[in-house]
Amino acid sequence: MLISVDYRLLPQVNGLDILEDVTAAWKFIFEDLASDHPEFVLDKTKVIVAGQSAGMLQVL
Amino acid sequence: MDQVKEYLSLQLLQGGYLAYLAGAHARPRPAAVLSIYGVSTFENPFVQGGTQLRKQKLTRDDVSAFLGGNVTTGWTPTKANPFLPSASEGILFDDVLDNAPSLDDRGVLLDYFLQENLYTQIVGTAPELNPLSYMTEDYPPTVIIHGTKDRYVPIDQSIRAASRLEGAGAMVRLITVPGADHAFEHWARAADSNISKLWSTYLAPMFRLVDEFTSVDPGTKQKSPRAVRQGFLDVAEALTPEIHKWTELPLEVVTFEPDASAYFQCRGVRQYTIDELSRLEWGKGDEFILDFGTHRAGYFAFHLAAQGTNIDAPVRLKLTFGEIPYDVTEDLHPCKTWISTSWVPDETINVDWCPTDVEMPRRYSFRYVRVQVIDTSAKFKVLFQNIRVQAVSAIAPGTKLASLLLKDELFNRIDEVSMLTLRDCMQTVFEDGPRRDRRLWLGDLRLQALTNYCTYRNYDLVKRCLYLFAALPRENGALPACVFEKPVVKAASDYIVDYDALFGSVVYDYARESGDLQTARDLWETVLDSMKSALSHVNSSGEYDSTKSSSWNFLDWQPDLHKDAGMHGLTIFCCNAINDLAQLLNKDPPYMSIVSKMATAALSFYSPAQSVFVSGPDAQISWASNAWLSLARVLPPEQCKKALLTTMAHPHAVKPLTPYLFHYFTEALAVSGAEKESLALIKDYWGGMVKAGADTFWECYDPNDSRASPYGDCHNNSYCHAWSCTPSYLLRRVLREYLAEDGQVT
Repeated sequence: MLISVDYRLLPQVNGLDILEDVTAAWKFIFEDLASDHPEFVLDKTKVIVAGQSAGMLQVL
Repeated sequence: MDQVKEYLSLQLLQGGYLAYLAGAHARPRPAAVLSIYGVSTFENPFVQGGTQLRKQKLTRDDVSAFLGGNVTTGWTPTKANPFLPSASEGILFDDVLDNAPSLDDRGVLLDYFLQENLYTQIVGTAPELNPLSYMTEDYPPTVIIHGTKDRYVPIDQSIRAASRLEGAGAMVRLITVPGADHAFEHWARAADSNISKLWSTYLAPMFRLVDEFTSVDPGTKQKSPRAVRQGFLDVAEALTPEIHKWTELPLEVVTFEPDASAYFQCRGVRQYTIDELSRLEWGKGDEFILDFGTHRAGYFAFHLAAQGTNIDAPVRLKLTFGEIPYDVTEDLHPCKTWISTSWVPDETINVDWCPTDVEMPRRYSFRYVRVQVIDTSAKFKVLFQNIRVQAVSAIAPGTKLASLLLKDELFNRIDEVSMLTLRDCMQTVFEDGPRRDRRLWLGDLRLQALTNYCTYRNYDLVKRCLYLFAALPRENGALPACVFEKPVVKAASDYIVDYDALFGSVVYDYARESGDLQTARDLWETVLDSMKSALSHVNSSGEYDSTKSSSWNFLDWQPDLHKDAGMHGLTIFCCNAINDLAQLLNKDPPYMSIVSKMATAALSFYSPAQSVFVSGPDAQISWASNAWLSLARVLPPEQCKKALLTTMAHPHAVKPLTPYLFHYFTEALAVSGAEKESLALIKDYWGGMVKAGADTFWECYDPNDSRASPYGDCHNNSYCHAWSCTPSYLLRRVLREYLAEDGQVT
């Protein structure tokens, strides 16, 4: 299963806002997904997180 | 996994920084973090140093359209995103900066924020925003891939993350892609045909590693095995230097005439010019000696022409590469050495189909080449033309250094020879000698690094070597004396207690000289481990006792040397260096009490009656004991000075056999107030080699015996040897102030 996470971009937000987006994504994966989308079954011990660049070319 | 792979190959991912953040803060922790040239920190000179990416400076007006307005997310459509593969396969590694985002693209904000150094302000400086600070042993297993020539996110970002994780004991693997720029895998996808095997070479293993890391049950997560600290090894690999290559030509053909007054009892005189040589024909049994005028490490090549009715046989040649006249004027076989005779620098080759170009595949270290024609045939002879050598070093040719400019020309020459010695030893590591053993030794590294700091200042090569040792600890955390680079990086089985202990001082020297405290922090645990073996030899009275283990204490090749006193001094010296390093890193100095105990105990090695340090039941007086206990400063300088001078004058004191120990004795003189005697010793010892004809300094030098060798036969000696390169360091650094005050500078 692949979950693509968007996040808010600089400069209208700051680093802490972006960290909040990461935390929100994690809450979605580990809590909301099971209740909102029971059709997806996730092995929670094998969630890897991948990222490229800083998305710096996206201006973070 | 396959989906990630598929996604990556279809779409641009983003948020490498977010992946690191998730590794730091997300709970439960991710099973693994995969960083594709990700930003690991904003505390970085590239981000904070006003980096100018594009040729034209941007103004606020250029980017104002993106500065206000609503918050946006996601992929910003661009008109000409430089990172999307173009249709052409030929653009692999194209200069992405030449395709900088147009002013219509939101991507110009990156250029603008860097240029104006705005990231710190916009992102904020809350401590949780620096993932590096959260890289502890518990950080998720991490795989990082990064191109070495990345200009948008310099590879330093990944090196720092990898070394931090490694130092903390987390699982980490950094895959470096030589020569690759930012977003290289997109080019690779476009071009994974006959142009590039990037995908299969780097990205496929990356996914295998992620699979491997995530298949470990988190409950029984294993730390990376101590046998090889892969993360440290990765850092070392990423620092592999570019080897510079340049062509040098022979000066003339020489012959050696007997000369009883010369150190080697002969002197070279010109026999032919190289121009004359190019027209001379040579047949069975003929030979000549080429003189290149100076020393270098490199690859020998020439054009072999032929003259005759038929070229009806191969040409058999014997080539011997000489650093000193003996190498090319005597038969090197049989060689009565107890180390391998395979080091003896000669090759017998058979060359087919003349005329042809001959390029010798092995690197040799030489000034002279003896060319012997073993046979051609009765029908033809050969000519040697276009003779050349491709010299190699990590130091670029023509690197100009400020001259020493001392009034005494001999010192200037000693300085030049030191630097040439160091240059030829600086290859992909600091080799002990380009002729033999061509590998990295820890004790030699310390002296080379010190000399390098006041000459070429190649900090990265020192850093690489530090990480190589740190990557290869022995079971008890001790470091090997020597490391092999090939065929794969591996620790040698050799172990030397004093070399191990010196590691911390090499790290301290490096940190102080380069200002790179981060490396010192990463290697701190390794430094502490490297002192354990030496300290385990200290008995309850605080004295070094070499009989406490069977490990090798070196100090010098001199077989008669009693080593307890010298090792006692060396152990204090190393503890002092590590205490100083701790202060540099704002840590508590770990060895204050042991140093104090050992300094008191050192008096048991001092003979007040004779005013010298002695060692062992026979109260042996040696240069080694007095050098190291003086460097340890266990007595006030004037008393150390007296001990050193008394030792030098003592008829039965055990003298050094190697320049390695001569260095420490000379440095001990210099730091104990005996600068004049220190300079005299440099002039006498290293100056003696210069007068004997040294182009580079030797592994071993006995003024009274030109055939002295620690290995049984001088034909296997190395005459360009790391541990004798230190006069530049002594003259340019240790004795510099004294030379200036004494009016010896022009």
